[in-house]
Amino acid sequence: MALVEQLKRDAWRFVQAFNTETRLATRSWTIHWLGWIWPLLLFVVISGIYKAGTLQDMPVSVVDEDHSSLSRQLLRQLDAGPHAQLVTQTAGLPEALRHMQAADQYGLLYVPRDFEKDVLAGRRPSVQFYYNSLFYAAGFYSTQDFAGLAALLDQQVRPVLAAGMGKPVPSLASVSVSFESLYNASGNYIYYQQFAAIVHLLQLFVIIATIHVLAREAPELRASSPHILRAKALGVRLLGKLAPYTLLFSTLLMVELFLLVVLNGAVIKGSVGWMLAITICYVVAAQAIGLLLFIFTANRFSAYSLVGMLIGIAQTYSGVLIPTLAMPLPAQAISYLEPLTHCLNGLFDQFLREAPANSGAYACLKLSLYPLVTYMIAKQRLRKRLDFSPA
Amino acid sequence: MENFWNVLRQSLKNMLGKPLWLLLVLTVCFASTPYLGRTIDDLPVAVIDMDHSSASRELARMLDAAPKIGVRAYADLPAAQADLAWRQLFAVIVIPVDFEKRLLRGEQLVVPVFGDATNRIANGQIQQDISATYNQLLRDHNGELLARSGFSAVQTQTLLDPLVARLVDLYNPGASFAAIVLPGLVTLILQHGLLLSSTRVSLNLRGGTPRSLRQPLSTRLGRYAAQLLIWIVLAMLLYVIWPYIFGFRQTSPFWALLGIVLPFLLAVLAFSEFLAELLPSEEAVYLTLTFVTLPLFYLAGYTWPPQAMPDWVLLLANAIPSTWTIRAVAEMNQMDLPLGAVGPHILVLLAMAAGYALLGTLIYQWRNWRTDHKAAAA
Repeated sequence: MALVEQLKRDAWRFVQAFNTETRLATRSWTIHWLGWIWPLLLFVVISGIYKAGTLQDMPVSVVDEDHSSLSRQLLRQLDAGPHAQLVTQTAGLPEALRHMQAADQYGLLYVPRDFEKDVLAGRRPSVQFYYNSLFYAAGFYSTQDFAGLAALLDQQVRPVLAAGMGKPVPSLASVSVSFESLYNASGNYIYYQQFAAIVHLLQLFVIIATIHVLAREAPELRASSPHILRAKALGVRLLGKLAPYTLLFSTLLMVELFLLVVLNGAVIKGSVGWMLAITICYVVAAQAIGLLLFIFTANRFSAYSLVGMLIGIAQTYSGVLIPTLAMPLPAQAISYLEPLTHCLNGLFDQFLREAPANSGAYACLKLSLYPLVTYMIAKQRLRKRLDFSPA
Repeated sequence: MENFWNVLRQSLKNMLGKPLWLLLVLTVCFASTPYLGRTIDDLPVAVIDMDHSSASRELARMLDAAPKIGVRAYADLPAAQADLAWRQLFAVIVIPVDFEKRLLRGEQLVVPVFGDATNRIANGQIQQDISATYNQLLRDHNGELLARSGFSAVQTQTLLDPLVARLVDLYNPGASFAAIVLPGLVTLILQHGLLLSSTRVSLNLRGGTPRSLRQPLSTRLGRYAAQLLIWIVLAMLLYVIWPYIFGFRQTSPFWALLGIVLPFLLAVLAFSEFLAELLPSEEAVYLTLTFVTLPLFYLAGYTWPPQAMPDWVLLLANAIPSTWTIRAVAEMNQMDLPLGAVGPHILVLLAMAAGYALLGTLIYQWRNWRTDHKAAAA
């Protein structure tokens, strides 16, 4: 009976903290700024960056010193392909190289003098495609059609050469590699890079907002704001205080992902329900990190400064820029410590990857560890940071 | 002048006494660790050999020898597909039944490869290596076939490759991820730290304060000079010493990098002065600027080309000092361009410094004028 009474009291405290915080949040310009205005503005900017989705018609310089029908055929077909858009450099190689170095053009196709003549004479001239592998995405995409075209020209010329040699060519083996790109067949950057950027940004917003709302309860700002947290039943009140933001940011991320999917005509391969569950667990995990930063720093500005560190680190270790499996072992360990990694894996599984059935539950389970660990670390320290002493 | 030196001395003392800026170094240390391998090698790829012939075993060996591929042998497709779905593999290659027999007969063969395309860079590198390996195998077998048909070695080579098509990767051989990501990341982390720090400083000196509390210009300049000194040292550490320690490609001399770093830091300081006149409080600096670094990384045109961005996005990107600096540093360090060749970028940065400083000053003067006007009216 006493337990039921206790639960009722805790539920009342939770509701009271939730309602009070919700009232404060709706009147706070800062929460509006962090909760939807600034995230949606940045969402528009990031959507603008990746508006094209896939990389096509990357500019490639051409220096054709042969001007033969064979070289013209190669150039015509390469230009007709989806990946490269050829720009003829009449001033020759130095000018083409200058454009490569300034990253105005990402490739350079060089056809040497007497190219056709040498091919037909069996002198095996070389045609070279230089690409900028520093600007890897654009450089690599611009080369995609080249190897196939060269193989076609080989096939076209081979019977002519064999006839000149006076022997019949035996039937040669031909292996074609059917490379099936799974999970993101069109190579759309919106579904991967933009998606990851939005999820990463949300984490920063949640952490900063958590620090901000907790700082209002700390001695540094307590006088200027109504406070909700008390020494008694601190845990329940804390949950009630943070719960409105869990709902706010979970809704925000789902709205952003919904916009991303709908505006780009994408199809979610897995379950929207699991995506929502992962999102909620991710927001709670980010709130846990915000809580940790708040309690282990002297003031909110120091905590905000530490969030700056997270920007580069979280992005690098999340596996978006460099795959986790390609990292050295210590870096892989750090990657697995980050909530962003698990959230992205879980969301990608549901969004793109025809996820294994238990993937969603697995992601939620891993993300749930963060608030649990934080609870154990923060239990006593939070009281000290909030300083409930009457003085 | 005396005030300038006093403020400079005091600001330096404060900053060195409380080195929060050292967080930058720590951040770059952490952010560099994944790139210690410099390039990605031996990405796990499943090979399901359904032929068990000497040709299929040779193919598996050749695939394993390819730099980007590390072969994992699987007995059946479902197990490999499950590991692919759980991110333990990057691709699955199936060597079909009768692979060798059909190869020797000179028949048309289609070899299915399933690649995880969520990460385009890893997928692209594996795809390149798989194609190269199959071409090599094919060339070897067809070469033997032609030799058996009486063609000489030279004729065989001529028939196999009537024209030699070469793909040559420039500026970043072997596609080092460090070279692709780190210069951008370092520049943005430097900009992020300096923007936060100097905007906070500028907020204390901004327009709209009562006449009696206003500081002379020398105070402002003294504080900026202190920030500039600290960040020049940091920039040199991160652009020169850091790549040297990690063995990242670093071709540009110290003085040439200084030629781009100095205008960059000046532009960021001027930008921060402008922002300080717009943002309402110290907290707003954090609540706004903390989030812009990530979009700026993508805006810089480094991982996604400017040619694929709409005009309004390019306009935004070009208004930020880091965009021009990343381009210039990449061009000098990776593409071997001399300082003179990136002169236009330096001019843009200097113009940006002048423009933002002018805008900031105009707003500062206007706010002061408004405050004085109100005080006079009262």
